[in-house]
Amino acid sequence: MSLPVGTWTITTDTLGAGTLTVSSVDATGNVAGSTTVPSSGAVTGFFDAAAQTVALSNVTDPTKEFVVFSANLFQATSGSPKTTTHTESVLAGTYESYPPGTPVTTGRWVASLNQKVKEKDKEEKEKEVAKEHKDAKDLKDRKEGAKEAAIKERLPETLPPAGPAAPADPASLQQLDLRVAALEQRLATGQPFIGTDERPDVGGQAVQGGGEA
Amino acid sequence: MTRMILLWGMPGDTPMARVHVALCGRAAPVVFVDQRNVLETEVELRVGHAIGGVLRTPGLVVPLDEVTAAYVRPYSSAQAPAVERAGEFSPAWQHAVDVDDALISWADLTPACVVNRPAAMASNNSKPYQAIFIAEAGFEVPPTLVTTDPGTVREFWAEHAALIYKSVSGVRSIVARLEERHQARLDRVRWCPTQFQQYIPGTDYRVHVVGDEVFACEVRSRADDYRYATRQGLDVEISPYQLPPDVEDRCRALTKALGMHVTGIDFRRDPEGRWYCFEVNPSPAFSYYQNATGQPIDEAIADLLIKHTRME
Repeated sequence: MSLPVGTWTITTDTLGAGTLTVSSVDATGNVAGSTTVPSSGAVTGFFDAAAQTVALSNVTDPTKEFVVFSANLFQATSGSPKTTTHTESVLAGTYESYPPGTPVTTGRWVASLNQKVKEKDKEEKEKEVAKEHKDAKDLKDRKEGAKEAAIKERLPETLPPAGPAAPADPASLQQLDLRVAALEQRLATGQPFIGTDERPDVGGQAVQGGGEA
Repeated sequence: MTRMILLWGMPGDTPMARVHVALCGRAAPVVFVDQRNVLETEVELRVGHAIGGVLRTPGLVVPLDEVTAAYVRPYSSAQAPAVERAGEFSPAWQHAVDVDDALISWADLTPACVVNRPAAMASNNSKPYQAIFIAEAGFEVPPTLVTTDPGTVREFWAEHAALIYKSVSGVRSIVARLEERHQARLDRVRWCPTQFQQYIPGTDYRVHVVGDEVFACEVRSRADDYRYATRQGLDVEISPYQLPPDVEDRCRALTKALGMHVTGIDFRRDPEGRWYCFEVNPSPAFSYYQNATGQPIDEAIADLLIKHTRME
């Protein structure tokens, strides 16, 4: 089940309430959209269809405040499958806000989206999703085939044939990228207890050409 | 085979300069590898049953298997002015890093007597690790907390009344008393593990061990960190001191246990006469103490290097 596109109602512990608009989720899980929380702006992120988790951020300039939202997707469907169904989607999770120069704040957030889906729409959507998955799988198979051939070329013939490589999960990699960027940002803005004025230069004069070290 | 003593460091580094002069005064076979010339320095290492190779630097070609003793006080060659001008990750910077790596590897692996081997000096990069050796040598170690949790610091502070804080690693920080004014920034320990210790009242002592020789001096100052007493507008008086024989023996044993030939050990003796050891410096700037006391530490290091050259 993919992350539903649409305008979600979002509530947070400390950043206020507003909307989260999910404009698109591509076949590899890339999410694009916008939010009004904590201020109006674009969000990007990744949806992991297997884990049903999403990570979103409004980061555009790491030197300015940004927020990383993480959540699990929960969905409940009601109504007759042959006529119309209501799907209540809920994202519930935590966020980390990174204001430059001050400690990171964390909190919880929840967003909900109620969608009516007609049977016809559902069928078309399922076909689209199936096609997207097939296209993505074909692309992945082609890439893996090319990669395997390249590796085989480099391996000496005496080695046993390599087993199938574990497929890289672009969504997970991008999630990792986002987490690393967030951690780097935290470290860049962090101030250690022992300040730079308490860290004397040791041997600087010796390096520059003279003096007592 | 020619036998030689290799010095590696910066000529403006006073301890290095003192040892160089002492060796030259004894007409010892010494070569000085100046880190400022790193861009004109090349190192070839051969590693097999034995380690050898050649070091070429302006005016010198040094067969490394002819080096039987070495005194190394390297700074990062990347800090040399010519390398800094070239910029980080430039080819010059990469060359400087490679030369440092090669010589550090050689210093760790050569059978020559090295004062001190980089691998042995690495113990100073973790004060808690070094404290294990200090305690095993029979010296007192102040109650210590290394943490990233401000709440734990406050509990430790309440338990011990007076604390100091300092670097956990080999990167120097000025030792300072923890005071009420620090409360406002105590949350910053979350960003970097910080070491807190019970404040120990008493008198400071600095002990230099050079092989089997021990040079001790007493340091009288009201400063929390006498090295930076002038920042607090305070004076420092340093005078030679004769340690009790058992303390001398334990200093020698501690130096050997850490795999070193030369150390500078920091002590404070409390009013009850207990010897608290704060740190073992693996590359001591002994000249500061020698200037104040006249103790011939440079000569002792020169003798140690020459002795090993003759023994080989």
